[in-house]
Amino acid sequence: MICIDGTLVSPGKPGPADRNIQGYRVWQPQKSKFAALWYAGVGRDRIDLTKDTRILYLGAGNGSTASFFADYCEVVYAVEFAPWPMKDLILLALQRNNIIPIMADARNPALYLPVVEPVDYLYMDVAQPDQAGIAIANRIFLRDSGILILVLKTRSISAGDSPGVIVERTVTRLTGHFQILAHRLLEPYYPDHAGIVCMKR
Amino acid sequence: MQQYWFGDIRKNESGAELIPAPGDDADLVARIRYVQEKKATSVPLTSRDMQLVYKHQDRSDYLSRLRRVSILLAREMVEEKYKTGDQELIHLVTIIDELDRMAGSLGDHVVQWHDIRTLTFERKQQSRSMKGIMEDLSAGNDPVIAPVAEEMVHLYEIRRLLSCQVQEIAGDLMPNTSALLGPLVASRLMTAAGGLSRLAELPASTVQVMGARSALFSHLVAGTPPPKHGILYQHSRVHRAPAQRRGRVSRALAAVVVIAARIDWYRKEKDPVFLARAEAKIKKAGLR
Repeated sequence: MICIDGTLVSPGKPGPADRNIQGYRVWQPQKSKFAALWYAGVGRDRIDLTKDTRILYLGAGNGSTASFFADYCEVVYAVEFAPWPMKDLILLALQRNNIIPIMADARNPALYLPVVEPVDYLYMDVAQPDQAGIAIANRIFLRDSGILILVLKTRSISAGDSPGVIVERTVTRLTGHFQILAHRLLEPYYPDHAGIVCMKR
Repeated sequence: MQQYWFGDIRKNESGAELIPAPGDDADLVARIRYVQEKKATSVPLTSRDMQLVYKHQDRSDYLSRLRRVSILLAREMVEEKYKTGDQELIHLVTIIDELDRMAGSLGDHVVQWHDIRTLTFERKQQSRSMKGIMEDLSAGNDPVIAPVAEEMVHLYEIRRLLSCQVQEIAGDLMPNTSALLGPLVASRLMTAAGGLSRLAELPASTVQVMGARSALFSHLVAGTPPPKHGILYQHSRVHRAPAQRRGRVSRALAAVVVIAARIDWYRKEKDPVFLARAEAKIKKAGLR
C-alpha cells in the first residue's frame, strides 16, 4: 500500500472531490471502511494491493471504495444488488477499465459463478444478518491462501447484543473455513463496525 | 460440462477443453442470464480453466470483453428492476408523506401568523380543518396572507393529484393488498419493505410491526412492551378497534396482508375469493 507521511493514498488520478497529496488520491478513513481498517491496523501486514491483484468486492454500493481498489488493482469484481447504487457503479465502470459491475445478491453466489475468476482478496461490506454465512459461501472464489477482509456491520446482525460479542461469535463461525489473522472494532470512524481479516484454509 | 460467460468447459479423461461461446456482446449477456436461470454452473473457475481461456484470447482482451458484457448486463437488470413500477410507487409515496409533513407544519405557522395579525378573543376559529381555513384565507383580501394561503391550497391540490396517481399504480401493481388496506397504506407498507418482491417475502410478524421501528428496538434493547402495530395502525379496523383488541386485529390483518402481497407479486391478479375470506378473518379478530 502507498502511504505518504502516514496518510494512505492511492495511485489514481485525483478527481475534483478528492484530496490530493503530491498527485496521489487521498484514501480517507471517514469515507471508506477499507481505509479505516488500514488505519486501525487490522491485518495490515497481510494486505497489499498491487497491479496484479484481483479482488471480489461484495456490497460495492455506489463504488467510492471500489474506485480506490481499481486504482491499485488489476481488476475489481464489484457485486451490488440495489439498483440505485448500481446505476452509479455502472457509470464508474464506464470510466474505468478494470471494474466489472455485477448486479446480484451476495447471498446467492451461484449467480456470479459464471463470471468471477479466482481472486486474491474477498472484500465484504454488506448489511445482512448472516455476514459470516455470506463470507463462507463466497469462499469458493478465493484462491488458495487468499485473504478475506470482512467489514462486519454488527447492527445488521443484532440490535441488542454488544458489538464485541457479535464479533466473537462471527469469528468462531468463520474458524474452520478461514484462519483468523486479526480483528478489531473500527472505532472511531465507524461505530458498531468491525474489521476481520482471515486467510482461506 | 460447466458453462461460463465466455464458453463451455468440458472435462474428460484426456483433459479439459474449452468451447468458446459464439456471438457478440449481447449474445453473451443472454448467455449469462440463461446460465443463471438454469443454474448450469456449479463449479467456480480455477486458474487451470483460465489457462485454457488464454489459449483463445489474451488476458487484457478477456477482461475488456468481460467488462463490456457485464456493464451491458447490469444496465439491463437495473432497467428491468425499475420497470416493475414498485420503485416508482416508492418515490410517489415518499413525496406524499413529505408533502404532508411540510404542508402540516407550514399550515400551522400560517394559521398562527394569521391569528396574531387578527387578534380576537372569540372562540370560533377552533376545530376547523386546516384546508378549510386556508381556503377562507386565500379568498380573503389580506395582501400577504391570501397569496400564502393560496399556495397552501395549491399544495392540497397537488397532494390530491399525487394520491390519485398512487391509487392508480397501486391498484394495478398490488390489487389485493390495496383492496385490503387501501392503496395509500398498501403503498406505504410496500415502501417500508423496499419493494413488492420484498414485501412478498416477509413474514407476517415483521409486517405487523413495520413502521414501529423505535418501539421495536426499544423493546429488543430495553425490554419495553413490544409494539402491536406500525403502519397497519392506519387501517381503520385497527385504529377503531378497542384498545385491548387492537393487537389481535393488527396480527390478523398482517397475516392476510402478507398473503395478499404474495398473490400480487406472484400471480399478479385480484382474487375476490381470497379477499372475501380475508375480510371475514379481520372482522372476526375484532369481535370478542
